[in-house]
Amino acid sequence: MAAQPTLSNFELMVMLAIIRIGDDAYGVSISNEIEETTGGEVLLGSVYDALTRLEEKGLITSALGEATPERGGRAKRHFRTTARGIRLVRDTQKSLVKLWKGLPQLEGEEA
Amino acid sequence: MKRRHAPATATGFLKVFCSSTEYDSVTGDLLEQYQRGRGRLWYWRQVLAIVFEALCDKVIRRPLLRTDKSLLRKGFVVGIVIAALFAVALSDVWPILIVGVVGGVIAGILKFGHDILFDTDRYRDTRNFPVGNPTKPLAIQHRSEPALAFQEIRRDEEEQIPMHVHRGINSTSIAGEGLEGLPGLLMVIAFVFIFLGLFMPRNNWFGGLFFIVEIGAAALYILLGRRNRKDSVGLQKTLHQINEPKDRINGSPTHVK
Repeated sequence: MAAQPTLSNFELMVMLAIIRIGDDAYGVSISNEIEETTGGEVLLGSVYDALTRLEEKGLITSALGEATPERGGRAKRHFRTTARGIRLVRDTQKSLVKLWKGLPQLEGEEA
Repeated sequence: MKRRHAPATATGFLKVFCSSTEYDSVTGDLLEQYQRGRGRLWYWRQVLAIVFEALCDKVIRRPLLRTDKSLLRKGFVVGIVIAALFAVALSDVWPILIVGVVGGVIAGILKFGHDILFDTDRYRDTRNFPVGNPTKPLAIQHRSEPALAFQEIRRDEEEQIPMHVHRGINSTSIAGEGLEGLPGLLMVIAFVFIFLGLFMPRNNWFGGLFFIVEIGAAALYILLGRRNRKDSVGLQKTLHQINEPKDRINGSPTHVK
């Protein structure tokens, strides 16, 4: 059985952004989504780097989309998650929730 | 709305360091953002970050020994690297030149030799790859079913493009990966010459000669890179045509909003 790939923090953010955006998940929309959610600036290069890694792991797929004049006639590359990617996100979520539970520091109590 | 002109030099950097597929989507994304009011500084910063990522990807993450992981070969590469470092430390012309040429050839053979000797159909496979079944629509899910998002098993999982094909299409950057056969080998050698030129003294006749060789190597590097990109654009168009029916993403199973 193949080893389960792992997700870095940023990769997880990218996966979640793709899931949230849905149809229109491409470089700009993904980085905007992460920027809006986290409040910090995201480099497009980092997003593409993460997307390449995720695609290599088989967690997302990409396909060329439409070209617009605004983009200088260049095609968008749309991304979406695979079933394997969704499963991994779900497993990561479960693990994080387990780790999250019962942490006094995060429930406003004294450490 | 009046269009702004993005910094041409920065875009040129992208052209040099990104593969054609990446170049199109990345440049398109950057232009889109730029037209929406982002500044030149932002554009430059993004481009430099992308170039840095591309270089790191080529130099660090991609294994030099793609197929043969024997200790002997690894040790050989490490030996060459150490010898090169010694040669540079000694600052003598001949060791640098010899190590540069020999090291470049060996590195090129190790990195691309397998494709030359055993895997010549790789590119052809890429051109003919049907990308799943073009006549078969993708599993389309509806935006209105967010609750099912995490439960759906995507039908197209098995139809994913095999990794080697993906790399063949996507990673045709000037930095080397994806450049098949002899051009790849020549580019590695040219790159070694350019790199060694940084350490070469210019104050004697040999330094001057090496400078000329270095310029030639740089020209070769750029020319081969252009040719590779041209090939890659053709390949991309072919794939785009094949993909046409399924490139329109009408839905995704993964909506949580």
